[in-house]
Amino acid sequence: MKGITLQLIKLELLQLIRDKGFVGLMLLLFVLMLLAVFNTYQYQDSKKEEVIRQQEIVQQADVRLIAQIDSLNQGLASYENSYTLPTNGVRLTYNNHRITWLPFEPLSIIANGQGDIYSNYKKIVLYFNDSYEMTTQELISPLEQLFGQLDLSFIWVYILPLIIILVSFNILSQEKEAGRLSLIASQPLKLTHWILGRLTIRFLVINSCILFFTAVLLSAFQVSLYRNVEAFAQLMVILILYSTFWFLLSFIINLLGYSSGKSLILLTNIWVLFMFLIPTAINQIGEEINPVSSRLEVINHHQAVYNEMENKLKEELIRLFETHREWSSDDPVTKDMSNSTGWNINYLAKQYIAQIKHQPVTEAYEQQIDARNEWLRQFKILSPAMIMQESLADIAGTSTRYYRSFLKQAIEYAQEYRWYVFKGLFTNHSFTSDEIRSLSVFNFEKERVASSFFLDIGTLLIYLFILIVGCLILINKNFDY
Amino acid sequence: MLQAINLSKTYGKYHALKDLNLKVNSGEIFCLLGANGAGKTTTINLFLNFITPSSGKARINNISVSENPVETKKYVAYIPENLALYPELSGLENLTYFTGLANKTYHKDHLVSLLKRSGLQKDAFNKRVSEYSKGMRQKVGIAIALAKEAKALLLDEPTSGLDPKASNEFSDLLKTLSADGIAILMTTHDLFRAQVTGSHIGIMKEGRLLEKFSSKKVSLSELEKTYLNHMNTAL
Amino acid sequence: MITRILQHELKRSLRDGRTNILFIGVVMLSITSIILSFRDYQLIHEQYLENVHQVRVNWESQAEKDPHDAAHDGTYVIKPIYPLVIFDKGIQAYTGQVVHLGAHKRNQSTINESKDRSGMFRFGELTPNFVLVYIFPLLLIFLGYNVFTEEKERQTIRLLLVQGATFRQLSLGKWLALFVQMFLLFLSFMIVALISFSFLEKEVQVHWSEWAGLALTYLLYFTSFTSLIVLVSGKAKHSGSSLTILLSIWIVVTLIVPKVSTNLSGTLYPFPTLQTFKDNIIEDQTNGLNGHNFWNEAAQDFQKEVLEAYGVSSIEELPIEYSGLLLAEGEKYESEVYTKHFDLLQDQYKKQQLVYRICGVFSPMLPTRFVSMALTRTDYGFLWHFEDEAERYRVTFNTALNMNIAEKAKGIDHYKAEASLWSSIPKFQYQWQAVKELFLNHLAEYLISIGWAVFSFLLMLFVNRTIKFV
Repeated sequence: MKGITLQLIKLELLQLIRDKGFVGLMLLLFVLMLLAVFNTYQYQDSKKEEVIRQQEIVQQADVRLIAQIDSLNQGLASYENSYTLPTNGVRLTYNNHRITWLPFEPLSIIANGQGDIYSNYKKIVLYFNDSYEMTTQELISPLEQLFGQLDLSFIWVYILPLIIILVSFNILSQEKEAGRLSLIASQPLKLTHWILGRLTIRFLVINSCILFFTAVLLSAFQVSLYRNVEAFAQLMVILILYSTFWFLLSFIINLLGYSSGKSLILLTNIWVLFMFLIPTAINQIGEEINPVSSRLEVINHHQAVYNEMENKLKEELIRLFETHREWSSDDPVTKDMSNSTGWNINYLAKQYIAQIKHQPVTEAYEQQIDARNEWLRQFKILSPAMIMQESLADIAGTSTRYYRSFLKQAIEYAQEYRWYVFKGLFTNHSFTSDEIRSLSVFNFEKERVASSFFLDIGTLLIYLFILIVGCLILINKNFDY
Repeated sequence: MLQAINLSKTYGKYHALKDLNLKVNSGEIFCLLGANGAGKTTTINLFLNFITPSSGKARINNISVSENPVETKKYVAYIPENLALYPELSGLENLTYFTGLANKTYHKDHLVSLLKRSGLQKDAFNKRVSEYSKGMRQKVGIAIALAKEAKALLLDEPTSGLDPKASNEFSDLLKTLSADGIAILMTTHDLFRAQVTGSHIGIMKEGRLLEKFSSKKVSLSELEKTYLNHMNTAL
Repeated sequence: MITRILQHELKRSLRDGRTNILFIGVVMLSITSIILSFRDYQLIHEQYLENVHQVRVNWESQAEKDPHDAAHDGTYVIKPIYPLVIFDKGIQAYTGQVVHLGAHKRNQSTINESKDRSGMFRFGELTPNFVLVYIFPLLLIFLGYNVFTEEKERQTIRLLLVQGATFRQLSLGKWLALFVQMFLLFLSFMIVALISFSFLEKEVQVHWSEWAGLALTYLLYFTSFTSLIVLVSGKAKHSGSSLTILLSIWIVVTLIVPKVSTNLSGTLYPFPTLQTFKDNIIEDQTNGLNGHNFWNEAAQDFQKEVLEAYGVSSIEELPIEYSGLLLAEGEKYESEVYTKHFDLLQDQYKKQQLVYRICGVFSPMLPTRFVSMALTRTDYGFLWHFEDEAERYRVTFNTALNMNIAEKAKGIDHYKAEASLWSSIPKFQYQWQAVKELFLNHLAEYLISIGWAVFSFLLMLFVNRTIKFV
């Protein structure tokens, strides 16, 4: 019995290997995956380099500042004006900004996700740029974003189902059209079992290919699978579930017993439905149900608040220093607008007041955006393709949720940092080199992005369950010969 | 071995087969003669459970076909009119594959001997089937039947499209098989082939088996006369 | 002969229930997409007018302040939307909607819609362009993949050829039949689009040539597909393999080539990183454009010039505030530096565009899409044009403010302009690029599209001159 099965499997494999179309598709899959990995590697590498460069810029500026403070303290250097002193907060305002960054996940190479839209770093300055929108925008051709990057995620989400469809749509119809069906049906076995068997072999071959290609390509591009077993296992689980979905779908279409052409049209239409129609429809409906006004309104609001604040600047300033008593100082330099220190304090205070007044509107707006995103995320369950894409971006750490959480954390960090520096700066405090050294450093907390891995798995399993029920209903079907 | 008891198949009002009673014992070759639409292929399809009978029973080895389709298919082999195989596999590989589907396993040497027995020339064993002629494919079909150790063989127009020499060879092959104790049921339009090959002949028309007799008892001309007579008179 | 084949094919198509369902499906999809786009435009246009108004209100309601401070606080110009956007949204969602205009600095446009969207947005939007570029060819494939293979499978092809029709005539007839179906579908699509367009409230008049240009580019695109379909169906042995091949072509043309060409253009002609770009600008500003730094040498020359013009020997003797003049002149200089570097970016993009054109040889979708985006003013070219116009306005805007300093601030400490100044600054008026210019800029795309249509047609006729039966 075992020997027979093995022999049958061997012959099925032999057929696949001799099938030029099948081998061609596997080769194409490999070439596309190679291109995708290569491209993503290059793209993300330059982003990583840019983050490191930005970190270095901050570090070098800090080292310079510390050295200047030290040499000033040792009496080695002297400065004409008090506001050019390295110990003056003005230096922190214009020369020594902070940097926040979103670190790359070990498996980031599998999906570029929103990486072409968001930058992985954000400069934190004392004057404000806290809007999510006002983040660094790398120079990138918007066409790249429109057409999208060729990454593994694209190949797995879009191309893999098509390859599965192409190798499985005619398991039955092909036998019928070639005239072999009656010979097979005259054998003592159930035809549906035979179809299932053939599909299973193709399923195993394709999944082994993907596993193998992925493992090889990731290793070749310096991703250690050994050290990221968990993420890799997650990736494999989701990939296998996704391909199972398409195989089962194809099984059902096979069981319906249509001609090759009709089966392929049907499967392609389902593919178009899941890849294009459902997602685009959800996007449209999401917009209709959760309309978010243009961000221009937020900007206009800031401008209006700013004007208002300037109109009664004196009272606003008094109120600010009442709220933050630790920022107020009797030092006349801090009040004198004709020197740089005073001007700077006045400038930063104005920005701060406007920002604080504006903040509720920004926050409400961001919440609206998050709400719409969350609302849309729920509906990803309507298409396995959407589940797959989001899940891959999550594993890669390049999903919208990652980037928005990063921006949120960056803004929180900025708040903390500013409060600390303002205390010294507004009171004309002389910053020491130790204080510069111990300025807080940003750290992205990944845990704040809730993993939806198990939810995604669960949803895909429900899909599989539904399809399996469909298969069971059809599996006892009789065919026309 | 093959037995039809009041076997009928109707499609709506149309009787594709009506009250067929037929018995093919081991060692017999039963040839069904008849025009297109006489119910010959319907009979074969019923024995294979490709269609389910409207009434009556088809039995193979005394087991009801419609009740135990998988079980009865163990005893029967089938060669369709136009036997198609996997073109990307060789004859030997096709044989191995179909033998496996029948849940049987043999040493390669045995399979080679079966191909020899079915009369396929030796140099073709390992060639891809895409290069085979119809006759060659049919020989592989016979080998598949042999490998299955089938006790009954169903053939649908096996000699149509074969040249006379190939047809003759094929007839001889069938005779050898029946001598080994296999029950054979075949359909054909060819009176000559039926007379030469068959041990029994049945004439069908519009779903009914009108007459059956032993082929030894009639000459070819008598057979022709009887056949045309049936065809020309209304039921 | 050919007209008879055409009649026969059309009749057959009409009687095919499956074809009719697909047809109806696509028509529904087209109408839905047009309606959605229509509503979208109305909403966006309303918001646009509202925001433009609000920006101006904010600008005019500023307190009395130093005009240069006001320049620093700046204002915004908002990217206008062309009504044809209901046809194709192009790169709109991925480009900024506003440009902040401030002193000394040219900003890129910001507020990308895509940043406020979730990852699901990347699946695309149900726009007319989406239906035309992706769904129409797919429908054509479904309609035509078996025009020949079915005849082969039924062996009717032998009969046809025996009757005296040549294979080439048959091909031509079947091609025409498919073309006519496509043309009728596209025509009804355009009629629905035109009707809904006439209901739009719009300030810009759209020239008929723009509609014609759009129709032409899509027709060429569909023609290429029609020829490919008849060609493949004529060569393939079975319907299954014909459909498989055609679907593969569809994927390559609509999905893979655009992505690969994007990667290729980005790799061959990359943009500098933002940091490098800024560093280069700063370098030019400190070290001087063409080897002279404005604030050092040229400023001295300028001072001399001004003094000479007023016939005085020192700044104090000038009847106007010199710092205002200097700021205005400096602004022009800085703008030149920015223009130089943004022009370099545009040059880089032009090289990228070349890559896209070459890749267009492998996918008729690329030239079609580029023309479509250009005519609907949703392409990169439009963004550049808008940003350049915004920069030109920024100089005007700053000059106006700085000249106020020059005229009014003489001898006043901490000069503050009256609030009435703000409303006297001219508004931003965007002048749409001339249609003729757009066509000329995209001549290459048209040529590639025409090349595709003609070449695929001739190839079909050439390949489908004989048929093998074994």
